[in-house]
Amino acid sequence: MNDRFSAIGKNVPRIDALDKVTGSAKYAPDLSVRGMLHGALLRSPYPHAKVVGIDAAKARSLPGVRAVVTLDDVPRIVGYWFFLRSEKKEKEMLIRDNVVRFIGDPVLAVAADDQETALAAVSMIEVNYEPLQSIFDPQEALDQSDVTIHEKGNAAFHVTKHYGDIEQGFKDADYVIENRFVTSKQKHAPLEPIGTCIADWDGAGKLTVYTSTQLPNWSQMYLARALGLPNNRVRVIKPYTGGAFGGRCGLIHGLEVMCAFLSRRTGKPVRMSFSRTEDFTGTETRHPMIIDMKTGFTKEGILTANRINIVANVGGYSTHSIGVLANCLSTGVGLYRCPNVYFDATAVYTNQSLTGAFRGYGNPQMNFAQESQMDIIARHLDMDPVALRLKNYRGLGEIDPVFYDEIRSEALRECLTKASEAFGWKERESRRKAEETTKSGFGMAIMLHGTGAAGALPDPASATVMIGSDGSVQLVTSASDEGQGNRTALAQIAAEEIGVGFDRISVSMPDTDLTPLDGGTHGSRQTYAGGLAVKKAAADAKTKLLAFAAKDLGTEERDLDIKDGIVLNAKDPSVHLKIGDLMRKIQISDMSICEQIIGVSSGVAPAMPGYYGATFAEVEVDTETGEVRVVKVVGAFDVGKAINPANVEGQITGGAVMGIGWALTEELLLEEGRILNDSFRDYRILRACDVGEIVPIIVESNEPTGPFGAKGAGEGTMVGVAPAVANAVYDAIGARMKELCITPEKILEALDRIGMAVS
Amino acid sequence: MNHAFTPSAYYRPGSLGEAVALLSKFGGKARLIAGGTDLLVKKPAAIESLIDVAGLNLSYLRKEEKTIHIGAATTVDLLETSPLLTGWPYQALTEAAKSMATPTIRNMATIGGNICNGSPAADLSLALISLDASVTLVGPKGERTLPLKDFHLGVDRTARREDELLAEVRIPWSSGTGGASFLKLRRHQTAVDIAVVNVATRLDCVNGRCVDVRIALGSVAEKQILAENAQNVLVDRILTPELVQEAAEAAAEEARPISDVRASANYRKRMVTVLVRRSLETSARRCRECRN
Amino acid sequence: MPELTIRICVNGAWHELTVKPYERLVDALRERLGLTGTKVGCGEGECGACTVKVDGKAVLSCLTLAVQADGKRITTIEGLRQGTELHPIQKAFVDGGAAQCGFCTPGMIVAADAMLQHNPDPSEEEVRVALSNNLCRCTGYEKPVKAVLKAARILRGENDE
Repeated sequence: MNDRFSAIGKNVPRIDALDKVTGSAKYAPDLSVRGMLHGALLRSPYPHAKVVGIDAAKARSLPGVRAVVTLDDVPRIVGYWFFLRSEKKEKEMLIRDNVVRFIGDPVLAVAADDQETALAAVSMIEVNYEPLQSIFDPQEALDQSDVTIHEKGNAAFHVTKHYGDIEQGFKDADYVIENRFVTSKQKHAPLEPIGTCIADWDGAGKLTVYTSTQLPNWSQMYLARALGLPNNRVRVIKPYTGGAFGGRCGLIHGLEVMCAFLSRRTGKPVRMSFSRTEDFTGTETRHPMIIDMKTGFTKEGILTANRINIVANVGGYSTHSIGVLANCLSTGVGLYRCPNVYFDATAVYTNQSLTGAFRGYGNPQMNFAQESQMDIIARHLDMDPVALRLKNYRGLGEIDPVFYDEIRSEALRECLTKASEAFGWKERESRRKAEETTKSGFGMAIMLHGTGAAGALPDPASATVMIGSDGSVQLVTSASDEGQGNRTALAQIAAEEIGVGFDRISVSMPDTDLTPLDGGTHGSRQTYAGGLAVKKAAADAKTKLLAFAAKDLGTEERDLDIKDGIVLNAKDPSVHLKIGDLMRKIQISDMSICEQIIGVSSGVAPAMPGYYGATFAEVEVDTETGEVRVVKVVGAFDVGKAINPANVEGQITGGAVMGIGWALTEELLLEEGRILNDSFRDYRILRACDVGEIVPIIVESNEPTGPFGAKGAGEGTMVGVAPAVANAVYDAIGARMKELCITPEKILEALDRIGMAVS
Repeated sequence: MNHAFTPSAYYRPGSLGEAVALLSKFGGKARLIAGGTDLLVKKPAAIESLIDVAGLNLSYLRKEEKTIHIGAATTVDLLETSPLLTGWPYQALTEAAKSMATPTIRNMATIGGNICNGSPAADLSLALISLDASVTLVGPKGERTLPLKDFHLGVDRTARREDELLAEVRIPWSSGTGGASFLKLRRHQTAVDIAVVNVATRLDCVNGRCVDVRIALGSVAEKQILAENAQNVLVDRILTPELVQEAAEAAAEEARPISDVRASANYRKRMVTVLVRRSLETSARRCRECRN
Repeated sequence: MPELTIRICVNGAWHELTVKPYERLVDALRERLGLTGTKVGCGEGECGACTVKVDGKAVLSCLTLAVQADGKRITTIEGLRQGTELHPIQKAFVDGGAAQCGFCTPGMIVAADAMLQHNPDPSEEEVRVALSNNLCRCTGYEKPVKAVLKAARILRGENDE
């Protein structure tokens, strides 16, 4: 790594590591407010019904029960900050009716002295439902007009985009293939269950909510609208968060808003904490998608036409659906050069459980289809899969067709070279097991993911840098860290920019009373967009500091710099002014000044740079049992610049394991809207003893618009893993697995079909 | 969170007599608690008392003449490391123990708890059935011992009466020429799982001829079963790969699995053939007299 | 509801607590003793975030009743640090970037500590098995496993390479 940086590119220990390893870090379930009550939800057992009557008399008479609030009192909040763009759109974010739309949809909330009483009270309440006809299949929901889940119909959103002439494109092709790919309903399942909050009103009618949200500022606004308050009468404080992966990308359905209403009704703080079961059944998941892809290509392996039709199953309510569809477009269309593209995606309501944002935001689904298709093309042409990618990907200097912006940094070729070397791709035949019942398989995939959402969504980032009277630095930002380590990376950026040691930076926790507007931690954007804001604010602070220093030293500002907390003059080596001494002077001892250095910035990033990656996977398939074992995964990712390489490696390894899970073991199974596997026992996440060899590789292409060259990393490290595994399975057994999850039963079915079964 | 699990009394009796008296008094409103790893997951409603077995001195593993005696409250981790279980066929019990849940859970779970849970997928009891184990129950009328294979009656159902306590597991000790093998098929890419199909086999041969065989099938019926038709295929015969395959297929015919969230009935049946064959091959390898 | 009085030793200090018969050890530790380092991730014994040591063995405190811990010595994550000196496992986690969101971290560190007390020279495979009850959604387990192996080396007095 470079030596010209003092903090950038260094594996500094995370600023919160000590807190976490000692058990002193406080997450939402660890918080308490004196006198708080406990809330519990009564959830619908029906997938679609009208609530026509509630009898809570028995519950209300239970000692310790303090309040009941219902759908008559509390609106459901849907949509996301895209809807905040206008007053009219904002109103669409609140649903006020008495219809429940999935099994688990909250009907009412109870507050009681303790959780046991609250749960007992819930079980005593009788609710009269008028069951309505339910629909679970998205195609059925589109075709049937007599079952409407929402007033405006079952098609929630529709995104289309055309380039060129698709029919001509197919005519220009030597070969045309068409395939259907189906992806499964994955659950974030972070170790801290989604979710816990405490709502507390003060005597003047201001609400404070402690909740782990990825979007403190947007969540503040959602709550303010739901409660009919101005923004500044709602305070959102985010404690430590035990993982999110998109599962906390806003408010949690029925959590904060029900809690706020209970608190207002009782005049006491109220805490509500979902169980793991409620996490599995009542919170958002990955959109299951049916992707039909028809691709035309020449015998040289050049793409001529690509028709992409997507039907996404939204479930009962939509939050991020339109963004997820649009993201399929930018990566589905952005990754490869193709002159004729027809993209048509529909998000459809059904009475299944919720969907929302999830690591990759549509890209994993789109990429699974695309990279499986490319593998089929490579096989068809007997071409090296790597060579096929290199022929078609859109590279440095080209224009991304969705946002019409130039690709200013891109090192995909280097990713492919390094990953294939570490994997032993060229020599893979020599280690191929072709025993009677164990077959080796090798596969790969590439990926592109956008950093941030500048130009596509409202994407502000702000930061304040306050220099203390002793020269220590307080970085104030709404940046929400769910475990990625972005607060540490931002501290590194601030330290580097100002010229102080990394250990001199302290970073705030998000608190909307104090930390300025930030678009949230999503879209792999915090290091990039948050980093740019921090860098600007730090530069602002540095400029102001050097102005004071110049005056103090009687020199020109432009000759001064700061290194390791000391102001130096390139032209005069005798200058050695500790910034702590200077700050004491201007803040305290020189009573004619009394000024603190405060650097400020707020704005939007100049671009949405793509980051790239290549994943290679080796599997072994037991052809008697159908079991697939992932032996090795190598992932190389171009992240522009790794501010903290250990952080990036963590994302690559973690992303690989999550991707393997999505390919082989993780899917929520539903029957008539009921989730059958609502626990870790039956929703299978990989454990330490399940993971084979994973090799993370960092590649740096230095994004010119990024802080010190950085781009994103968090989501893309999962994209490409599932198709790499699926392509490896094809290599092992000659059967194409187009539907996730790939299970042993599906493997045996496939082997039976091609006559290769041995059991 | 099951708020209906709210027993109001907890007892830790110091003798079997005391424990039995409590069980007689409370009947179905009491539950025995050992490691807690099944009870505190299930959290059954309407339970008034908990009776802890920790004070009953039921944690022991010893050999007396021709029998291995294992106290019902012996935690599973002790089965993994016991020197009494290091030879074949008894090592099958160690194999089963190591395949169960996780080391942390094995520090808490007991052999008695695993058996009394009555799950057709239980790992320990499957290995024990293949070893001809028996269970000794203590009740108000005294002690009674019955073969473990007759103890399971159905899903979550055993022959233990409400006023009885499982005190001991016994395994007959033989000269140890036999081979055994315990195999567990889980969902893939996961080493920690309840069995999709589990199988325990034991083979004993004299001059290469099979004189005794047990083929125990788990997770493929409402209780754990011995595949008797499959066993009859092998008894008194010289083992060949074709014969082993025949036995494996016969075993699959005797399985009557269901479909559930983990696997389909068809898949389970198919896997019985695979696992029984693989297990018999391993048992034969481990049996000194069985190799031909 | 009659309550029971128990005496438990937590991180070296004896406490007398009055608990309900069905109260879980994890709740007694978190709510009565304020030791919130031990987490509840599922309440069903699957995730390991509630791992503590009882008489030296790693157990799941969400599947242990407080009354069952009567008379026993319990170690939670808060008890690993000696004054201001981090336990070598904790230090290895900090230096190795092994804690991401940190929610699984206390359970993992306690499970690793229990293992190293019984098996001071584990292979990587043995570490992964010992941690098999501790689910992690963030790290992919790579850095935590490496940190445990490093701590093991340090505890054995070997020079770390």
